[in-house]
Formats: sequence, structure tokens, C-alpha cells
Amino acid sequence: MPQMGVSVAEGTVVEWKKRVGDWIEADETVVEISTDKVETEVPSPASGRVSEILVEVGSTVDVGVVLARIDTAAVPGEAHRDESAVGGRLSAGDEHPPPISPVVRRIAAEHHVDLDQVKGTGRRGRVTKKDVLAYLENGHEKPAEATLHIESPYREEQAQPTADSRQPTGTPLSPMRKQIAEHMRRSLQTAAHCTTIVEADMSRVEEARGRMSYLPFVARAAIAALREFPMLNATLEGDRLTVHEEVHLGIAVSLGEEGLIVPVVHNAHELSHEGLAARIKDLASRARSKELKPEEVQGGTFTITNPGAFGALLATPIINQPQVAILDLEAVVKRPVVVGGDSIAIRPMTYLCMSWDHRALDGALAAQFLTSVRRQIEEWNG
Amino acid sequence: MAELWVANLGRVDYADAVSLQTELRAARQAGDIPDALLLLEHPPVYTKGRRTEKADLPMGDEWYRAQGIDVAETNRGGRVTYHGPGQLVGYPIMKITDVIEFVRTMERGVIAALADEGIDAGVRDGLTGVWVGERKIGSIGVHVSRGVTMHGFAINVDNDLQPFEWIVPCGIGGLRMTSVYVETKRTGEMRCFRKRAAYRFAQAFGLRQRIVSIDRLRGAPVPALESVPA
Repeated sequence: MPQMGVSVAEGTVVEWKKRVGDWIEADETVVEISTDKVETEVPSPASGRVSEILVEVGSTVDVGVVLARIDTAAVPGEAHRDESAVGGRLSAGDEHPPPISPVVRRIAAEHHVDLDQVKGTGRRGRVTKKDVLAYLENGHEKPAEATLHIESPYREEQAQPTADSRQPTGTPLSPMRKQIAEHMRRSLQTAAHCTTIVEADMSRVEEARGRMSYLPFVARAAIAALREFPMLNATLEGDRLTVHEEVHLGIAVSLGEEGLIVPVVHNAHELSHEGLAARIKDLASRARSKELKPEEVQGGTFTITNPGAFGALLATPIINQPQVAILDLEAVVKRPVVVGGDSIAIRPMTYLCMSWDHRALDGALAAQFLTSVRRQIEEWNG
Repeated sequence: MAELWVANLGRVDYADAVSLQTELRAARQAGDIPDALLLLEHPPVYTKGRRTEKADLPMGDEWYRAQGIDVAETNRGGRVTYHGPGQLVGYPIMKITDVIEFVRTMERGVIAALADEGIDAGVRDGLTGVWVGERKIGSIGVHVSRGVTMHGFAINVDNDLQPFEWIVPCGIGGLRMTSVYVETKRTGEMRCFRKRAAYRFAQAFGLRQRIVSIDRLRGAPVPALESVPA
């Protein structure tokens, strides 16, 4: 690993430009090294044949570590000394194929020629440059594989062979589903998910709501609780936690089979439940007609999801990164509950399920927060 | 004091900018030109550094192209990023001896130019680039051959930041970007900021900047008037 300046202590091998057995001229690029966003071409210190590559692509090594060896006693155009030594001892009937020059190998690689198919006219049937060029002229070039420039470091990924070789069935995911898939997977990989659940009596909200849905009431209660417990109104990026004063409330909106989008009610703490209801309705309808502006889906500090209309009782939602918690409102159902000491009454009940990031906070805080949300709901007098 | 030749190119296609840099780099390697800095903007394009992973562009090239954003592969360091109108791109073609020190000096120049705009930007440990708090404002990716650089820096001035949301910029999940406009709420800063960036960049490297035409830089015949010593 060459010294590329006093402040460079190590480097990562990105690409070998030569392979073992290749001939290289002094100052020709032999390898590319990456150091912190800088890719550097490293020239060969001498002419000769690459006899050994000691550090693989992707490995990071300190300055001074030997990357490869070049045999400077070799002669261009001839086989590696060791190979010719072996060749010399071979009997005429030996199956060992004669060595192939780097030039021929490169032409073959470039045109995807299987050299075993080419008839060699050289000494001991060695395939020469003339042979491979003649083979190509006769129309043997294999066009099937993707034609990438030979110097391109990018190779098409080989499809993984499946257990059986049937054609793949099904249809590819839509771009929106792909994006959701990526976000969800990344969130699960990033956050230490944990879900806490409390049960809330919705009687007071039921009385107050008229024709409104439950969501703006629960949102209003959650905002009040977030002001009380700002640690839940936070974003965690890497190891940096930002606790926000303003509540920018994300509301998950289903777009039917297409997917889901989370528009954000900015400065939601300034709104009453009526104000929230109006904003949520507006965002949801514009989300469905795809008229949201970019800033209307950005900058959320807490998210509420509300799939309860379909009758489910409990769920463990996935956090909307980089937020630290997501509150799930499920169905409101009438249940017999114990009230006022030892009586049983029929009450509209719901579960408030909240997934939170155990990296950012602990269970006690999550429970306190949810208890506060429940209190706001059960004592609703707005 | 040695000179830094600065050329303003306006809006240039990514592929054209790469071939121009390659040409100028050969000239710099041969000692035909002094150190140079190209300042320009690109039409919308995602560029993939050598170590970009498939998951960094989750929507697939076809979808991005449907949004009017091209996808290009490059040999620079770093992973995927976005360039577009309103973002100032700087490509230094400079002879260097220390690659890390080069990047650090470039960062200092960008930070000084942002400070001129009243933006308190800085670096973050282990994360190359220029940051305002938790948000990234300037990205860096460089390629060095025979001691001469190409590629360089990109600073968000008043470009649309939405395209960054559709990828995993620099391979950092959850990364958020910002711009001169987002930080200052001032529009139309590009002309002014471009001059500041060139001045501060030259200053950071201890070079004297000299504005030249691209023809001059490419060694094309220059009109007689310009070749008369002042």
C-alpha cells in the first residue's frame, strides 16, 4: 500500500487492473485504491509480470503492506517463468494445455470466446492472437451476454440459480411498493422495535365526535402527551438524538392496493381537534389524488397510523424512520368493562398500540406516555 | 503564488463533463496547464460511485428516468449522489501529493464560502462532506490518477432536494440534505455563491485564482487581444 500523503494511514483495494500472469509496464495502472471518498490509481513501480496478488478487492490494509509482487526478470510476450519451466518437462502426450498469452486471454474475455473451442496453430497447439482473431472473423462471437466495456468496474449481477429452473412467476413490485419495502426493511434493521399497548375507554370521545372519526381526537390527545413527554417527539439519526419542540404529525394514509403514504401535519400542536380533522381530511384527499407537495411528506416528528376501520384489534407497527415512535389506533369495539369499583358496564373500548425505539427510550417512558394519551381521551372535554 | 485557473461552464451534461475532465487531466499530468477548477451545473442525474450498492437506488433506473433523472456510473470515490440545476458543482483538476489532505482542504474552502452566506457549516467525524448540523449540504467524491484529481464537490444552493429522498445518498440511510436556500431562505444566490466558492477554494489551497475561458484551458487558440501581456 503506497504512501499517498502523510495523512493517509490505510486504503481499500477497489479494483485490480491486472491479474496474476499479466504483463505490466512501469507506470501503468496496476490497482485502484480507495481512501475516504477518493479513488486513486496506483501505477506499477516497475515493468514485469504480475506474479502474486496478496490483497483482495474490498480489503483495507495499512500503508506499507505488500499488495502484489511483480516478477521483473520475466520477458514480455513469454509465459511466466515457472509455467515455461513446467512446460519444458512435459512429455508430448501430456494433457496439460499450453499457456495462453495475456493478449489472447484479453481478446477472448472481451468477445466472450471459450478458448477451448479455438484451434491453436502455435507450438504444441498453443492458441495465438492470429487464431483467436480468425475465430472471431468466422462469426463465432457470442453476443448473448450484456456488453459492458471491458474497463467498466461494474458487472451485471449473475441471477441466483433457483432450486428449480422454471421461469419466475408473479409480477415485479411497483415502484411505490419497492420504496415502502425498502423503508420498512431499513427501519426494522435500524431501530430496536418494541411495542407497548394500553386500553382506552372512548365513551367521552364517542359523545363528542358526532360524525367525525376518532382519529383527530386521538391525534389531539397524542399531541398533548407529546408536549408532556417530548422524548417521544424526537428523531434519531445514527447516534444523534434530536428532541423537537414543534409537533409535526405524520398520518399514514392508505392508497388502497397501491400502498401507503404518510403526509405530515406541520405544527400540529397549534391546531384544535377540529383543525386537525380539516388538515387530515385535506392531506388524505390530496394524497389519494397524488397532489401532495414534497414538503408535505417530509419533516415528521411522530406518526399515527389508523387501520382500525377494518376491525383489527391489535398491531405492532413499524417506526417511520428517523422518528422514535409510531402510535397505532385500532378498532373501537363495545366491551363489558369493570367501572366504578365493582360494576360492569358496556363501553366503547380501543387498544392504543405504540411501537417505539428502545435505542432512544425505555419502556417506562413509553408506558407513561400512553397512559397520558389514555387520560386525555378518557377525560375528553374539548 | 501559483495560479488556479477557474472556468465557469454553465450547465453541462454529466458525460460531457467527464470527458472534458479526462482531457484536462491529461493536460495537467503533462504539465501543459496549471491547477484548474471547473464550476458548473448538471441537468438532473444520479451518479454512482464505484462502491454504490443496488439498494442505494431502490426504485430502479427505469423509474428514475421516468422522473426525468438520468443515472450515470462514474469512477469517483463515494457512493450514489444527485446533481441537478441549482446545485454548484466544482471539479478541481489539480496535482496533489496527499489525497486526504486534499479532501480536507476542499472541505475547508466550501465551509468558508458557506460562512460568507451566513451558514454555520462544518465537518463530521468519519463522514466526508460538509454538514449543517445533522443535514448534509455539500458532497465530495474524487478520483486521482498520476497524482492529478478529477471529480470534486457539489454544494446544494437552491436545487430541488426531493431527488435525494428517492435514493440512499452516500449509502447513509436516513440522511437528510439541506441547501443554501433552505438555510437562508434567499433565492437567486447561485451567481454570487459561485464566485465566493471559487475565491474561498483558491484561498484554502493558497492559490491565486484567475478566471479563464474553457477554450483557454483547453489550449485552443486564443484571440490576439487576450494574449497581449497586460
